Amino acid sequence: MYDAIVIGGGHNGLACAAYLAKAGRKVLVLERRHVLGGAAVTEELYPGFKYSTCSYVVSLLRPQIIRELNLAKHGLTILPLECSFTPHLEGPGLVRWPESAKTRDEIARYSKRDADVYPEFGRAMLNLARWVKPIIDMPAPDPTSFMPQHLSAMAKLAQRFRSLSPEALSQMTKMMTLSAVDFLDEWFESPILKAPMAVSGIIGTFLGVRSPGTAYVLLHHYMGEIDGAFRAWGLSKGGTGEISLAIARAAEQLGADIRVNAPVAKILMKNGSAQGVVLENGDELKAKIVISGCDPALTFNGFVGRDHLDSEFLSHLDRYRLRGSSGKVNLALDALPEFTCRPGRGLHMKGDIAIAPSIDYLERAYDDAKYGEFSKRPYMNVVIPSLTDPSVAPPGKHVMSIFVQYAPYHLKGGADQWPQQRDAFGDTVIKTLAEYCPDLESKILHRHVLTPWDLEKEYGLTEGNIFHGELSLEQLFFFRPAPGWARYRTPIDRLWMCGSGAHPGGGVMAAPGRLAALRILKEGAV
Amino acid sequence: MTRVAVIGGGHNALVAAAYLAKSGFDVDLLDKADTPGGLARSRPIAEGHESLGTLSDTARFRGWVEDELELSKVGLQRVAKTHRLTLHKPEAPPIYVHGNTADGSSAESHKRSYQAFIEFLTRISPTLRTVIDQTPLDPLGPVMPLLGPLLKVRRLGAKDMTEVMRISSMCIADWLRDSLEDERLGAGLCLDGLDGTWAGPWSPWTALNYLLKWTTQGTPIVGGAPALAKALIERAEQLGARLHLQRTVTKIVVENNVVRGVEFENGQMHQADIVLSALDPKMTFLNLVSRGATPPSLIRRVDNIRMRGTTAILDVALSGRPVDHVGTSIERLRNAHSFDQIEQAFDCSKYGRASAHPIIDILVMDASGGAICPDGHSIASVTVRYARMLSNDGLSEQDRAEFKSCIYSAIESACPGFRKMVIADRLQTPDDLHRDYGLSGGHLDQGEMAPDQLLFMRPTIELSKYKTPISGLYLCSNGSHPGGGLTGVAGALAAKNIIKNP
Repeated sequence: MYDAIVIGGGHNGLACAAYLAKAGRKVLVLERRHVLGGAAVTEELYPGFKYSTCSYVVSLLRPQIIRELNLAKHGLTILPLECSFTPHLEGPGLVRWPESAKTRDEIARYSKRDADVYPEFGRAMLNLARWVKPIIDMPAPDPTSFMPQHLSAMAKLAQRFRSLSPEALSQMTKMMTLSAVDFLDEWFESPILKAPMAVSGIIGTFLGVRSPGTAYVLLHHYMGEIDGAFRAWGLSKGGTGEISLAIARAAEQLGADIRVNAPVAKILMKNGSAQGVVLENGDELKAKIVISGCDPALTFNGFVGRDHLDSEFLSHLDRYRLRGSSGKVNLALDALPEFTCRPGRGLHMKGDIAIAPSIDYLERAYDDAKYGEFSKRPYMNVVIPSLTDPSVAPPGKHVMSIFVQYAPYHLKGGADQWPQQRDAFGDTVIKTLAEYCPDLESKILHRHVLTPWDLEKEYGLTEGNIFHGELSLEQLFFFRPAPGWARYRTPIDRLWMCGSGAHPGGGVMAAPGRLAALRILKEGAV
Repeated sequence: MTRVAVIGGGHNALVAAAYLAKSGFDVDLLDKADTPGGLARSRPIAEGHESLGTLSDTARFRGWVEDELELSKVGLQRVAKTHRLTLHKPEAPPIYVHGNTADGSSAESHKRSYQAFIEFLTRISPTLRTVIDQTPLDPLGPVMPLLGPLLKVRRLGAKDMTEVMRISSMCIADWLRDSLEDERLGAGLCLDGLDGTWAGPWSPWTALNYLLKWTTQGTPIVGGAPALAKALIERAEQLGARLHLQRTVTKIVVENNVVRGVEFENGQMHQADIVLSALDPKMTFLNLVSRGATPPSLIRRVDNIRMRGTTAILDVALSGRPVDHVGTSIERLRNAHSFDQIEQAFDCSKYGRASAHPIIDILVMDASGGAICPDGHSIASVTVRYARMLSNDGLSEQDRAEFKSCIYSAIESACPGFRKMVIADRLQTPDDLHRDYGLSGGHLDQGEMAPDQLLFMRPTIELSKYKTPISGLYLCSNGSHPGGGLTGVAGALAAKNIIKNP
């Protein structure tokens, strides 16, 4: 019998297993698909072309995980992705380089004042990021509890809060509550600079750049920087899946068992307590505890069953918002395309390329989604990993990863319209991108389109939400996934959570997996 | 005697003047208008017909301000019950919301969910009110004063406390969809959460604004805002404050960081030991105080205060009493029936346009309710969302006429026969509000109601206690805590802070 069974071989499930194995526990990870990684996966969809099918960049992978699990030894290499290119239909576009002097010249083209303010903004953000960062590495306390451990954690938080200067407190409040555009308006004047900066606030959310609360995510960019493991954004050599595989190798070496092609049908329940799991082939596997790396909706509605839950928890579960808003188009390219606004195939294509020409463009993309359509002109974040890591494509050829927003899961005619809309969605993406690089279409060898519907069906992301639930304030910290259940425990005895639906949430951080394992060990659950 | 000059003649200025005069200060009120009352005052629409005030909702004027100023002495009275609110949807029977009941919405379960919703709000109200009705606490200041409210919040119990925390950052549409089974009811009610914001129902943090408004609500004042203005003027004068009209202050005179008085258009100086500005913080700091007198960091923060007015007011004199589309007479009516409808109207604001399908909120009063109009006639005050934001090129006559015609067609479809009763009207767009009342951005609440512009952050972190870094200069507009509406709180709390340490 196992000490713990982890459902789902994504980066969080694997990290959780690795930490438990490291503490000497006997762990089994069950992955439904034929390949490990969940949404942090590399798949060779066409011979020679290796795609980071879903998640395609890393920023906040916790440095302590890299260190504690010795991931470098297990093959993890992060390659920095440093510049950020915003092409335009007219004019030269904007590139933000790692070298500040070069960035300055680029910005000065549009506003001299903004060019002067840009480094100051960076410093202010770094200060705020330093303040926020420890929160993602601590388990969330329960603010309503009178238990000493929670009270002292709350007191520590309050103390930390009170250590801010009035100036910083003012900035912090704005950061946590403003829209990305309103926040940037306080610093910058050029919309050409503000638009690509603002988009980092909306990725994966069902919000627009003018929606309050989106400024907060701007910080993530700077949090990555202070970790020091690599610069703000990076690519994993061999694709994002290599992160999961490195964690898996570490886990296996520490004694964990990992099985692929092992879809879980349900969690085995007895007297309100989890006993193990039943696989789709009928096999029953028992364990002292079960840990779900899947999202809360799939875990409770799918694996546990609503009969086993009380009405209060069910109402929290039903209110938990997942509505996915993004899709992905992955291309195999015969050769590199060329951007009209910046001819040549130079360094500017090596970073991320944001199709975010103006604030109104982004806001209109959101308007489409609000009323149940995919954006007619979407925001896109394009990366050509093969420029940084040639191992992912045959010599001379390239892979292009296009993150697309908005693609609302709930289309006006219902989510099940997606299979019929998939091609139209893919066409929209290619057509829009081709406005900036007209030779793109002629270079495409293969096209792979992922709609939120596909993300749900293929990757088990309910409603196609890439973060296992929206990263909005009312679903973060002590509310994730439900008030009172933010510490990886669930209302079901012996069932724990370790996925992005738990604190601190989504992204390839692996923090929920690690924190869940530490919590489980600390509470002596196994 | 300490001489106080109050700039402005609106309800906050009057409340502050009355409090100060009552405590023995020598108070001069300096109003640039020719009649006092600011946004609460009535203005003639046609011969014998007066408007219901630019801000017409009096239900949030605080009872404690009324009591402390003994406004009953000058005849101020409350209506026994709140106005009946009619929620209109084309080709559907109206929903009538009257206090704690909602009728017309079919299913029993809808009524139950509304009851539960009201019960929750009623439970949390006293706690929220204590936080709202005091000078904002400084979260970085001494710990002791913070403990009281903290304990109060915890005494709500784990469930309600978590719920308040969880709801606050939500968008009103999500919250009301979760709480009320009937989207029509939610859409009709959610307008309160959008008051003073630059947001639609799908914007996060609008639920908080709704909580702040609901929990501080009472019953309306007989005769509406004009009656409130009249009572405040009378009471302030009774207590010894002097009212000066048509006095446009052009400068707040500061020497060595100490306020000396104000200067008028004609260059004349009015000396004072304390200057209390009821103008919005931008007007005060960017136009009246000379730049050298304030630190640049403060100027930058004041400049960053968001005040994008998107609400217009249409005052209408009517030759009868309007009815809804099933023939029931109207006290208050809204045409909002779905979240998407409101959101679409807001979308126009984002791109600098006026909504072609505006959301209207009509308040109707006749002579029996205290309105100034002949018997059988009535006055309507229509709050219109979303108007075009203030812009440099101004609103053209054609845009204005188009917007007005859109408003009338929205009204007409909800209240058939309305247009035929119109004797005269006056549309006040953000452009007009800016020009007529000196409101920055044409914003009725003198600062958007957003979480970074509330409590200790309203109007900015260093100005939140009604005091300013300039000795003797105080603020008391709705641009200060607790923000918009005819509440009297900013005026009262500012005065109390002056009285406490003159």
